[in-house]
Parts: sequence; C-alpha cells; structure tokens
Amino acid sequence: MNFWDISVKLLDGFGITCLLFILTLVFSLPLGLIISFGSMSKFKPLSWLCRTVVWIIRGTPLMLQLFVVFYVPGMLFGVRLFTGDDGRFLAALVAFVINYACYFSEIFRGGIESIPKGQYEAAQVLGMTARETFFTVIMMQVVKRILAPISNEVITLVKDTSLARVIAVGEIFFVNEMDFLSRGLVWPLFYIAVFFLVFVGVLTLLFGWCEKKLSYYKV
Amino acid sequence: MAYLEIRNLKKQFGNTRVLHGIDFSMEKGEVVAVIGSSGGGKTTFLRCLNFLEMANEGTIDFADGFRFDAAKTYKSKEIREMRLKMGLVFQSFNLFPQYTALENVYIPLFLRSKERIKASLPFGKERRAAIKAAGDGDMQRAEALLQEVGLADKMGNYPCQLSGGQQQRVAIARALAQDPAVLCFDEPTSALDPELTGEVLRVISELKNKGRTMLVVTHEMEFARNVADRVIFFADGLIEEEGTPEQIFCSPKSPKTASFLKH
Ligand SMILES: Nc1ncnc2c1ncn2[C@@H]1O[C@H](COP(=O)(O)OP(=O)(O)O)[C@@H](O)[C@H]1O
Ligand SMILES: [Mg+2]
Repeated sequence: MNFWDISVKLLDGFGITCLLFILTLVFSLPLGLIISFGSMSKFKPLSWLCRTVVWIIRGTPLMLQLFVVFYVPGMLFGVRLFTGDDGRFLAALVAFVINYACYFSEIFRGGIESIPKGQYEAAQVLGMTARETFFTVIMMQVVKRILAPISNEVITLVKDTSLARVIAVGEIFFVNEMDFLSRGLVWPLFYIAVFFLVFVGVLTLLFGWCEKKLSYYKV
Repeated sequence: MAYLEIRNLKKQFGNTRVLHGIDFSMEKGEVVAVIGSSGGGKTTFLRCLNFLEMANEGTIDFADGFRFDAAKTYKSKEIREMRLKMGLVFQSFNLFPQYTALENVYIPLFLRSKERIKASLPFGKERRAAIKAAGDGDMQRAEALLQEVGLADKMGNYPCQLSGGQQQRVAIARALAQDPAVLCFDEPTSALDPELTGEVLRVISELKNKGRTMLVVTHEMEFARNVADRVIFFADGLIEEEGTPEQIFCSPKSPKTASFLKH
C-alpha cells in the first residue's frame, strides 16, 4: 500500500467522520436549546424530567450510549431499528445527538441564566413580548457568553466521532485500522492525527473569528 | 379626575407585606419626588406601577380612562399595553449592550410600531411599505430624543463606550420614546460617580420644563427640593407624609420624616 492508496482510504473514512460531525451539530444544537428551556421551565415535572435526562446522559459514557442505542431496541423488542451501514451510521448519529444536546443544553442554560434580570425587565417595561425579548435582547448576549464553552464541546465532538467505530460505523479509524495493524504500518496513525489536527485547527480559527466578530461590545 | 390615581395599592411577597395601601395621585405635568430610607418599598411601588410586579390589591386609574384593578386578571397582551402607559428608568440603566445608543432607543420603539401595523394591515405590499415608513419615522424620533438628552454625537456608541451618566441619558431617551403618560425614575443617579449625577439631573429638570409628568425616587435632596413640585416621604410601605418641598424640608410634621431628613 502506498501513500496514495492510504490517502484515498483515509479520505473515505474522513468523509463519514465529517458527516457525523456536521449532522450531530445540526440536530443537537436546536435540541439542546429545547432541553435547556425544558430544564428552566416553571412547570416542575418538565424541568425535573429534563434535568434527570441530562444527568443520566452526562453521567454515563458515550460509548455505552452508542451500544444502548444500537443494540437495545433489538434485544428488548426484537426489532432491528438500525440495519446495514446506513443503520449503523444512524444509530451513531442518534446517540451523538442525544449526548451532545444534553451537554449543549447545560451550556445554554448557564448562558441564559447568566443574563442579568435587568435586561428582561428593561425589555418588559418597553412593552416587548417574551419572544421579542429573547430574540432581540437576550439571544446574542447568550451567544457571546457561551461561545468559548461551545467551541470546547465542538472540538471534543470532532474527536468523539471516532467512538462510532465501536458499532462499526465506517469512520476514519474503522476503515483503516485493520489494514494498518495487520501490515505493521505505523505512520498512517500519525497521518490520521494530521486529519484531526487540521480539522480542529480550522474550527479553532472559525471560533476565533466569531469571538472577534462579537467583541465589538463588552457586557 | 387626576392624571394618575392610585388607590389602596398593596403588595406582599409571600408573608412579607411591603406596600400597605398606598393612596396617591398626580396631575399632568407634575414632578413628584419620592424620598425615604432604604427598604421602605419605593422600588416596589414603582415596579407595581410598571407592572413588573403585580399588586395584590388596589386600583390604578389612568388619564385615558383605563383602570387597572388588582382583583382582575389580565392577559399578557393587556399587561404589555398597560406597561406602555408608564416609563421606567432603572438605577442600573439596563441598556442592551449589543446595540448602539441609537439602536437602544429605536429598536423597542420600532417593534411596537411594527406590531400595530401588523394588527391593522393584511400581509402584503401595503403593509411592508407602512412598516418601512414607520421605521423611518421611528429612527428620526430616536435621533431627536438622543439630541434632546445631549447625546447627538454619541448615537453610534455602544453602552460600554459611554460613561454612566451618558448611559443613563440614553436610558431616559429610550423610556421617553413611546411617550409614556408618567415617566418613573428609580434612583437614577445612585449608580453614578458624584461628578456625573449633575448631567442626569439636568436632563430631568429640562424634561420638567417641557411638561413631562415624572415620578422620581431619589436620594438627591437638593434635587427634590429644587425641581420637584411635590415631595412624598415613604416609610415602611406607607406614604408617611407629603407636601411641597418647603413643607417637607422646612417643617416636616411627622417625626419619622424629621428624623430621616436629619441624616
Ligand atoms: N422580590 C422580592 N421578594 C421578597 N421581598 C422583596 C422583594 N422585593 C422587595 N422585597 C422587600 O420589600 C421591601 C422593600 O423593598 P424596596 O421596594 O426595594 O424598598 P426601597 O426601594 O425603598 O429601598 C424590602 O424589605 C425588601 O426586602
Ligand atoms: Mg430601591
């Protein structure tokens, strides 16, 4: 196997890694916002439920959650929800979305709760609706406050995608591991590291740019 | 019939009774200073008038014939409409930090214009044109108001780029934008360095000369004495004494007032 062959294989796996990463973000960010609203709800059973779910998801390993999502429906109900390569990918996606939504929800909750009461009250006395208050006054202030913790989570997600291999999703490790190990090749492992480093590097630049964009005001 | 009339206003938090039945009225164009030691319920009183707290008992009659009655329940839309009859300037300014001074005044104003237009016109070209025209008008109004409080050259500044006194003046312009019947101030200069209180108090006096009806909670006795038409002294959730500044400051009747003013 030459450099070219390995590059093609790695890129192939990396495509799945990227897809898993992007889809996880697309679904877990809004879901996280919904869960954070649930946790802050004045309706106690709802907030209790949301906080319990968050506690369970954050308190157990992601790897375990992958197994549970993938195997448990079949073991308990005899239905195989996730079959084939697409099914494995979907199972991984579901597990990642739930897991990350819970982490994000706590970041959102912290951000929203850190906005001083005076901001809400100022909006209220000016006749704004709850919706207007959230979208025109609160949201951008929350975004600014949570950008750093969110970027941390997002970078962790890049690397967590490699956990999907435990249910045989063809991400970058899974497609290549056997090959390299059986042939005793070491350098492709470092090559994989380069993929991750570049990916994380790009994200770091992106978040740095966002932070700069939002630095036009101080709180 | 007074311009604003409050009868038997009561408020308690849990078992803590804070307002014990306030009777109070104002005439149009009047400036009333509220003084009293801390914890007396002055802030709670203003918050009830602005419906940030809901009074437990009592009524508030507005000049337009509208009556708020604590015994009734109101929809959130009605509460929002009631809030617009009053304005409130906070001790801590509470400007929106991500918006410029001009946007702070303009955005809340424009949101209400937009809501009114949406309620009266069906979706379509006509509505869009009306919203655009309202936006232009609101922008001009916001600029004029900032000019009025002496900030013509700071319109594009963010709150973090303004001094406390300037921020409070933006907050005053913002509260004035929707032309409230009564503008309330909760210790508008207490968070300011002493050298910055003057510019804010000056703006309030100018507003008085333009005929604004204002209710000002303050610790600035000089201001209360010189600018207010009437002074009310708040103690333990009741209006202990009220009168002209001369009456209150020179010959207080209540021993509580006298003792407060000695300090
Ligand atoms: N949200 C609240 N919950 C419970 N007690 C409150 C609340 N707001 C005010 N109080 C109490 O009401 C009393 C009057 O407070 P306040 O209206 O702030 O007085 P002032 O503005 O004259 O200093 C204080 O004893 C305060 O502790
Ligand atoms: Mg107070």
